[in-house]
Amino acid sequence: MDAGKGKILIMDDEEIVRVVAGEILTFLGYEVEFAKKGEEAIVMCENALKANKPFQAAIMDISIPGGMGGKEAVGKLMQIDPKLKVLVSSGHVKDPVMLDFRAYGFAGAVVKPYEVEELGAQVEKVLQG
Amino acid sequence: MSIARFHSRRSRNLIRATAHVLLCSTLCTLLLLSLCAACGHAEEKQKFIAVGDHDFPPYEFLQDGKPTGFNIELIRAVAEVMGLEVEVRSGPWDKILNDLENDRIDVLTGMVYSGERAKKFNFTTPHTLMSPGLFVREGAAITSLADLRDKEIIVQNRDIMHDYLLKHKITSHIITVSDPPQAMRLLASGKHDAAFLSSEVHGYYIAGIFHLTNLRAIKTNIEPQPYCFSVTKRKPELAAKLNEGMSILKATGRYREISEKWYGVYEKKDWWNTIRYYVFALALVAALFAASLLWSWSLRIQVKRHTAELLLREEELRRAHAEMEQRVEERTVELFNSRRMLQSVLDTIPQRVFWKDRNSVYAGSNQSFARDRGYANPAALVGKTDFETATPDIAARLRADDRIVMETGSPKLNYEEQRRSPDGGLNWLRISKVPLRDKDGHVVGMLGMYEDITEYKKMEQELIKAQKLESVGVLAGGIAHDFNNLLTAILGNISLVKMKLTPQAKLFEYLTRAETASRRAKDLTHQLLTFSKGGAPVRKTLSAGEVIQTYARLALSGSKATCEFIMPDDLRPIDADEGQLSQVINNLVINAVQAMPEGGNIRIQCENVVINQESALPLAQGGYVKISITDEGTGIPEEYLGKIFDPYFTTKAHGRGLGLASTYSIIKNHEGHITVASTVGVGTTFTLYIPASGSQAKSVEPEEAEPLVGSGRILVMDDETVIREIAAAMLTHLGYGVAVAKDGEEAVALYAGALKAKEPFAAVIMDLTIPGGMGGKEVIKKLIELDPHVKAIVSSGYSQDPIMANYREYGFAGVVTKPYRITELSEQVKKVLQGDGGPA
Repeated sequence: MDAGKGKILIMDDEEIVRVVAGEILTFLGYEVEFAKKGEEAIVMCENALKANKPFQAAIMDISIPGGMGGKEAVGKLMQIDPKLKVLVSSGHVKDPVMLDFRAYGFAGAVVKPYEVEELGAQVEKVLQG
Repeated sequence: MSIARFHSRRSRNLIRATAHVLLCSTLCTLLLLSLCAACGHAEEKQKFIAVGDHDFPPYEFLQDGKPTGFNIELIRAVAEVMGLEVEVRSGPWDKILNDLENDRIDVLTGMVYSGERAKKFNFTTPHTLMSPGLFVREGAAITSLADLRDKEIIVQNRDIMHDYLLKHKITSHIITVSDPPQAMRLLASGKHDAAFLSSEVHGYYIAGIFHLTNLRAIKTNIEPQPYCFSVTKRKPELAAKLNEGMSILKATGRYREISEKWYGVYEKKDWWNTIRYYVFALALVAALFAASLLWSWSLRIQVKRHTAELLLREEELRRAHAEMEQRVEERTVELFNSRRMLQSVLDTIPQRVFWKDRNSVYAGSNQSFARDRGYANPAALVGKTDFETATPDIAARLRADDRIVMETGSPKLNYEEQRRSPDGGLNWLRISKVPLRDKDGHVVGMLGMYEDITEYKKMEQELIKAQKLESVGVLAGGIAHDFNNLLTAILGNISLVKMKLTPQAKLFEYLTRAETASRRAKDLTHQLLTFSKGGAPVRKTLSAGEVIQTYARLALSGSKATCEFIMPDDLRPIDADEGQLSQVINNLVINAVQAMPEGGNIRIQCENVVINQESALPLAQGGYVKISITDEGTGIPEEYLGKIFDPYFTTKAHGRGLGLASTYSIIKNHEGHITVASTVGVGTTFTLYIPASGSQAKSVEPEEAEPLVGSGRILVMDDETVIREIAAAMLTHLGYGVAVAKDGEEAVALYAGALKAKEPFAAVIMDLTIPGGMGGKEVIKKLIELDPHVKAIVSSGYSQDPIMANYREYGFAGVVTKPYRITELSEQVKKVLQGDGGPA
């Protein structure tokens, strides 16, 4: 397993999920930041871009109850930073978005619950692709 | 003959014989006597002198100096017949009367009998009945003798009327004359009031002779006087002889001859007098008769009229009757038709209809009701009660129901009841009972109707089940989602720890177990999530055979069971969500494997079928792919067969009970159907029906080509913000400049603005349907007006839209399907910009 390199934005409304994801990615060598919902993610993305420290990738929960989910945010994010690679994350394996993520603008998809190897492989693929 | 009659006959004969003997002897005696008398006076013919009045026509008068008249002729005839000689003289009454009184003569030929005179003379039997004549002048107001009281009455001196007047003291003014003519002439000349003659006949004679036309006779009640021969008492036997002579004359008819000769004319008048009453009576009778004839005639006319009227009325009645008959016939036909219509309706509708009278006795029903009760037709049911057609407890309940309805008069509508059917099954019925009333509003019976709602109830149950399923699904989804997040934390952390450990460490083992458990939990939540969020499948046209074989084999890996596939080469493709379908196959095959712990064969057979109305499946008509999965396992007991698709129902020790429930749900969401058949100890078969696809199956994997880059400004029109943003992001990524519009108006405005600013758009991508706004179809028209060379791409999520198939006709140069795939998008844009496609 390669040591990851890059800045990743993790967006999920569930704290334990954020934490675990963060731990895994940190373990894999990435720098992580967290957002609770889409709006926050957008702001953070903008700021990072402005600060000339853009994110390389973002992992976003597909839908956030009471807020903007990954599905809605991805377009905006890509407008802000076309180079950003966004992955969609969901527990529902058979969700249409998960199955056909590219159509929705995502670069990849990860299934919850995350496991180290799987998550690492997906992120790597996305960043290299 | 009877003895009485016999005796009377004999006595009559006896009397006759005696009479004859007596008569004969008398006659002989008389004859002898007369002979003797004749002998005694043979030489001397008897002679007598008879005198009559010289002026008393028609009885006795002088004609050419000779006496003549009825009396005279009569006396002569009598003398002749009696062999006597008569000398006939005549003279004035006074004198001749005097002569007789003094016996100077023998006979006065005409004298009215009176008691007084009879003292002096012998009277023969009357030879005439003389009616007195009371004459008055025409115009005199005298109608009877009584009217002449104290009036002046003329009479012949010393004649019988003179005596009468004196006797009866009618009047004191008596004027005497010597003879009747004088009396009459006197009266006619205007003198005095009346002339009273002894003979009316004589009076008429005088009036005729002297033309006394102004006189008329008055009827009196005085008895006609006997007018006789009066004989001197000196010759007593003469009267007897004269009588004898008269008798003979009468017997021979000579009397009548003489009478007719002299009285003919007057007898007419007399005759008139006598029969006057008869005539009057006759006249009256005639009048009455005439009247009655008239009456009868008028009656007849009336009758005729009435008869005519009656006939007319009869005719009218007949016509009216005929009309009514006609109408009755028409009504009867109408009635028959409407009856038949009613019967048709009753026997066609699925409901059972029946009606009873006030005593709950069946009065009729429709065919289906009768059959339900076990009778061939409704007629057989009439007259029976429920106690004869059903068990006592049921009958009692029905009777009670009827009573409630009929006594309260209020209907019992649409109440549901369970009833045991004749073949033992339990059915649900929806029953309505209403009271029947006559025209006065009294309840005379009841009408009942019910329908079998067992199916409906079953569907109701199904619906409830489905709703339960759905709510469970929603709940499950919610729970699963949260669970999954928790699992993420668990698994994630475990995974992390494991990273830091070597596989040999004991802790590693513990963690591995924890991890395994968590993975299983993950599977569970995923399944739950699939089950609950199964919603709208993402369908693709698949080869059913391929999918089934792939996933069945997968499910069988590592098991003892074997599998055989029976599929036709022309098995139609299906539109299905591959993931969901795979789940279904997985579930069913695994169930089959688990039913055969010792191993066995699973048979999977597919075929094309057509479903129509007779198929009795809850499926729309059309073509389907039928898939049956049969195992040789333990089978499912009958009482569980209805429950196996229920969520959380499981007979397995380790099962979750969601497998079949989610299978059921998935199949239903594909507009298909799943059924199960099983025999304990033999095996189970699950049968699936999935709609066949109309389009070709794509088993080719979509190419993952590199997107094509380009340059230029692209206008994107879509009502959905997300789509706009994704499209924008993709295009930007591909190197294009992007502008977005949310509806047609904005798009047109932007495009026009760009044209004017001489920075036109290279291409436009627009959504086909904009809710509430201008859709792609209209926008393209407007854009073509602005810029005939506009390069437009139409986008839609509905691949079936005709525009998508014929985009060029509408003015588009390209088409993309939503959701956008970056590769497809880049290809289309490139193509359009290069000018491979343009408005037709």
